[in-house]
Amino acid sequence: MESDKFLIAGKHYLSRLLVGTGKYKDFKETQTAISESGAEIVTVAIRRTNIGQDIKEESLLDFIPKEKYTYLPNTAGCYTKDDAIRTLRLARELLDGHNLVKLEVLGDPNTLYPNVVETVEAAKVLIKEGFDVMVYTSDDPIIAKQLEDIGCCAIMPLASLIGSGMGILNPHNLEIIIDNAKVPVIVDAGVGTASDAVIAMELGCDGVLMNTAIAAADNPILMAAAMKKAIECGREAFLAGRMKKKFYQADPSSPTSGLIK
Amino acid sequence: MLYDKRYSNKFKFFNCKNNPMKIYVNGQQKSFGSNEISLTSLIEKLALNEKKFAIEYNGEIISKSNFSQTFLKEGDKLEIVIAVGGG
Repeated sequence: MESDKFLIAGKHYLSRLLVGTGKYKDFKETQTAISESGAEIVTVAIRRTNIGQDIKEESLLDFIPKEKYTYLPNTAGCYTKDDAIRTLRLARELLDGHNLVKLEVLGDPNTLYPNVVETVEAAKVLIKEGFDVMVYTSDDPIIAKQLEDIGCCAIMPLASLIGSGMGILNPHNLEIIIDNAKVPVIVDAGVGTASDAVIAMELGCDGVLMNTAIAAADNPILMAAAMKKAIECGREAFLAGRMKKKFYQADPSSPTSGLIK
Repeated sequence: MLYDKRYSNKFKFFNCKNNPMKIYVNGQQKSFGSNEISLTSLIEKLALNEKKFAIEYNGEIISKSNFSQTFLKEGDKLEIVIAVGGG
């Protein structure tokens, strides 16, 4: 599938799996899981540094070298457009002018459901400032279209709530979003296991972003490998075009003639 | 105890009693006694020099090339961030 490249903000990627770097036991496990997943785009969060830390304290970025991965700084934990914008300006400074970002503005700490009104407002400012904005949103097709129209480079609707592992709750909304979008549509949040990722890709999503499904598996390294295959498997099935579903008219796969009597 | 004992020497400057200047670093109030302290010296004292970090100085991003010409003053607010694991 070398020819089936995935284009985001003018750059081609081979892997359609995007992964987060949170919730792992340690940086070594993060590194191994990401490597097994085959992901090329990895999300990172931006947080206050501890003052008075050990100078030799390990840093996440040393384990996911920029030569090998494209960083996708996020705005996780931001509940207002202003906090999200500040966070990504800091991220751009931190990552030497890097423009590709994941915008998410949350609306509620219990569900982490996105606040789409704040998200739209933040996206407008960030795009004006030259950021390439991959945007986390609800599975509302109208908001998805608006985010595309204001210039977001990828639309990332949830499949279900962040960290819930509930899988794809509304495949039909995702289909509407995919049908209407001219930029990549990436399911972000809610995938729980490999079959969820396959379904997302079979629906025609361009990619899937996940973190907890891998990091919270009993064996994250093995789940990372499973997710790599799931994404490829679902993509190939989508491209192959599935057979039509038939309710009851039987059509055997084996010849109906030549049976022994 | 705010800091590990290993760092106590590095943070003596936070505890000067003569004419202290108060600034806020990541939401924590810090007092300085020295007359002038540049952002570069602050970074060294916080042992951040080998880290990959970014700074917001009174609400604006400040690039590394401006650290040495920036001198802290009473009431300044600094946010110093790094990249951590996240999804």
